[in-house]
Amino acid sequence: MYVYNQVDQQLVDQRVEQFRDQTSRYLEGRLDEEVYKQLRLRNGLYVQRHAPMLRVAVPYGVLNAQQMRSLASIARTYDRGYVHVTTRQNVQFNWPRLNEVPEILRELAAVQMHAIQTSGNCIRNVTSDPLAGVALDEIEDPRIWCELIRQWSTLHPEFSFLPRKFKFAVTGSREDRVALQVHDIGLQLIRNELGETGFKVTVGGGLGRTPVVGKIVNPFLSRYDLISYLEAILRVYNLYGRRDKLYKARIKILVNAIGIDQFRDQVDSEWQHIRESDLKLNPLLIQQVADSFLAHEYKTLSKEDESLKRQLDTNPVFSTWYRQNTRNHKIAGYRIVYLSLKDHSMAPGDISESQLDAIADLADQYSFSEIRITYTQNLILAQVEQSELYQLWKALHKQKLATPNIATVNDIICCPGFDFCALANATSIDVSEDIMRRFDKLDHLHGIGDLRINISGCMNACGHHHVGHIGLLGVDKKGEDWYQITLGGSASNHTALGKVLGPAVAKAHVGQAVEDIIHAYVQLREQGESFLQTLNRIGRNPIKEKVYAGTY
Amino acid sequence: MPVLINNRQQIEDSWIRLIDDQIIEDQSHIIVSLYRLIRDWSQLQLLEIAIGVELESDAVVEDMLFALSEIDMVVLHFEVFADGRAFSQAKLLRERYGFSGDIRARGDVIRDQLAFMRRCGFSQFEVGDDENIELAFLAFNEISSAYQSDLNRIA
Repeated sequence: MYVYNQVDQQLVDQRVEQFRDQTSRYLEGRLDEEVYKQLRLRNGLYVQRHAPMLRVAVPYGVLNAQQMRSLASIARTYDRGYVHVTTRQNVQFNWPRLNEVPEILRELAAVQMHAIQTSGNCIRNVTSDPLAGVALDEIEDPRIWCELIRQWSTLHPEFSFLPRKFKFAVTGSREDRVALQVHDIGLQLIRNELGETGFKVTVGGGLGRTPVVGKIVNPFLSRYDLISYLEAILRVYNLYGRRDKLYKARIKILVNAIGIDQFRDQVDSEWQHIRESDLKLNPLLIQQVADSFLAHEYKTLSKEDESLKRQLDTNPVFSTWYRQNTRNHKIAGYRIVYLSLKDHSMAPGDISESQLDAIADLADQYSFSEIRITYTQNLILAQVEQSELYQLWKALHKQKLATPNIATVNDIICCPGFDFCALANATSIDVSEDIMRRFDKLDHLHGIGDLRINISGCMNACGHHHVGHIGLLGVDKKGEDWYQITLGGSASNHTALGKVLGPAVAKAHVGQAVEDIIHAYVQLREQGESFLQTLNRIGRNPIKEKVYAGTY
Repeated sequence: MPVLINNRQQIEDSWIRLIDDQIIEDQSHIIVSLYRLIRDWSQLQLLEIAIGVELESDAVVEDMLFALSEIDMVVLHFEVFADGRAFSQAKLLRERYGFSGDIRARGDVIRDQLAFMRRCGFSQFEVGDDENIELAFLAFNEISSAYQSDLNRIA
C-alpha cells in the first residue's frame, strides 16, 4: 500500500474544500450549470437516472482494510447500504445526495482516498494488474510506476481539459490481466537484451462506439523517460485531438486518422524537446516513491501444508472452491484468493456494507490488511497462508463471497445498465441473472471451463462486451430491450474484438441463445480446447446455425 | 464588460483590439489577429508601438515564432472554457519558446480554471464581471501544492 505523505494529504484535503465551495456556489445559483457539471465530473460526480453517482478512485485497484470500512460507513450513512465495483477497479455509490457529496469526500480524504479525475475529459484513475507484487509471471512490480503516473496526472494544469477522457493501464506481468490494449495508453514492463526494464507502450485502444485495439507506439521506453514521453503524447493529443464531436474525440480516432507511424513521429518530435528536462525521472525519486509503499512481512513457510491437504481430500466443496477461486502465489506457502462478487443474490460487482466490513476484518486477519479489485469486478485477498485457507473459506462462504465461479461463464462483467444509467438502452443486470441461473449447477459450470461473458447496456461499452468471448450489447428496438451477440472477443495478451453473430435477440430469448452457444461449443470442442480455440477452428457458422435454428 | 486581473489585483487595460482591416491610428498598444500579424508584419514591425497577437485555440503557436521576439503580449482565446488547447499553447510559449511578455486569457474564462492557467504561464485574465473579483483571487491558491513542476516563477 502506498502511504500518503504530507503533500499528498494536503492536496486531497484542499481539493475537498474547493469542491465544497463549488457545490455551494452552484446550489446558491452563483455557478453556471455547465461549469459546475465539468467541475463535479472531475470530482467523480455524475448525474444518473435516479440520483447522482459518485465514483471513488481506487488507485491501481488496491485498498486497505481501514479504507474498506470507510466505504462501508459511507454506504450506510449516505447511500443505500452497498457499493458497486467497476471494470476500472473503482467503486461507485449509486444513491448519494448532491449536497452531501463534499462531506463524503471529506470522509474519504480522512482515509487517504479521493474521487479526483474519476470522470470528465481528463486523465482518469490508473488501473493495474490485480496480482501486482504477487504474480508468478511478474517482471517488475508496476505499482510504483502507477503511483508516479497518479501523481503526475493529478490536477495536471495542462491536461485537465482534454478532448475526451483518457485511461491508462499498467502491468508488470507477462499475462495481461488489466485489458491493457483497450486503454488509451497501455504500459507493459518488459526487459531488454541488457537486462534493463522499460515499457512497451501501446496507444489508441478503447471500446465504446468505435472499438479499437491499441497499437505499439514505442517498443521499449526507458523507465527514466516515462513521464516526459507521456507528456509528449498528451500534448499532441490535447492540441490535435478532435473536439468537434464527442464520439470522435478519443485519442484512438486521432491515431487512426493519421496512422500510427505519423502519430509516433509527432510524439517523437514533441518528446525531443522535453526528454532531457526536469521531467526526466531520477533513481532517487523513484526510490522515494518505492519507499512510500508499506512492505509485507512474509513468513518463511514450507511449500506443502499437511492440514490443507487433508481438508482438500475430505471436503469436496472446499476443494472445488480452492481449485476455482485461488491461484499460486510467488512466495511458497501463500495463496492468492479471489472473492467472487457474482453470487446471484446481488447484481454483478455489488458489495453490501456488511460484506465490506467483513472483508476488512478478513483482510486484517489473513492478508496484511490489503484488498485488491479486479477488472472483472471481483475482489482479491492476495497473500493468504495456505494453512489458513480453510478458515478463510468458511468465513467467505458465510458472506456469500465463496461462489466457485471465477473465470467461468457465471463470472460475468456487467455494467449497471438501464436500471441505473441514464445512457443505457437496455437492462443488463437481469440478463446476467438469467444466464447465471442457467449455469447454476456447478458440475455443469466447471465442465464448460473458462469462458468470459461480458454485457453492456449500450454502445458505450462499460461492460466491455466487445472483448467478451461472448458479448451482449443492449439495443433499443421500438421501446423493447434487444441484444446483439458478438463472439470471439478477448482482452488478454491476444486482444481481439468480437464479431457479430447475427440479428439481435429479444430479451425473452437472450438467455436461451447464450445457452445454445455454449452447448454448441461443448458439443463441438475437441479435447482441452478453449472456447476461442474452438471458435477459431470451426468458425461462427456452426454455432450460428444452432442459435438461429429456433424462432428468434 | 470583463474585468482584467493578474493573480493579485485588478489592472488597467491599455490594450486595444483591432479587427483585421481597422486602421491603426494613435493607439499605443494594439492586439491583432494571427492572420493580420502574418499579413501585415512588414508594416507592423516598423511601428513604434506595443503589439499583441491573439490566437484562437486551433492556431499553431509555431506560426507566430517569426515575430515572437518583437511581440509584447499574446492573448489566448477560450471560446469555450472546456476546450483546453490554450493551456498547451501557453506552456509552449513560455517553456519552449521563452516568451517573457504577458500571456492573457480571454473569452470564456472561469474562476475555477485560473490556477491551472497561471501554472501554464498565463499572467493576465479577463474574467466576467459576474465573478466576485475578491473571491476570484482566492482561486489561485485553493490548492497550495502541485505534483508537476510549474511556471509560477515566470508568471
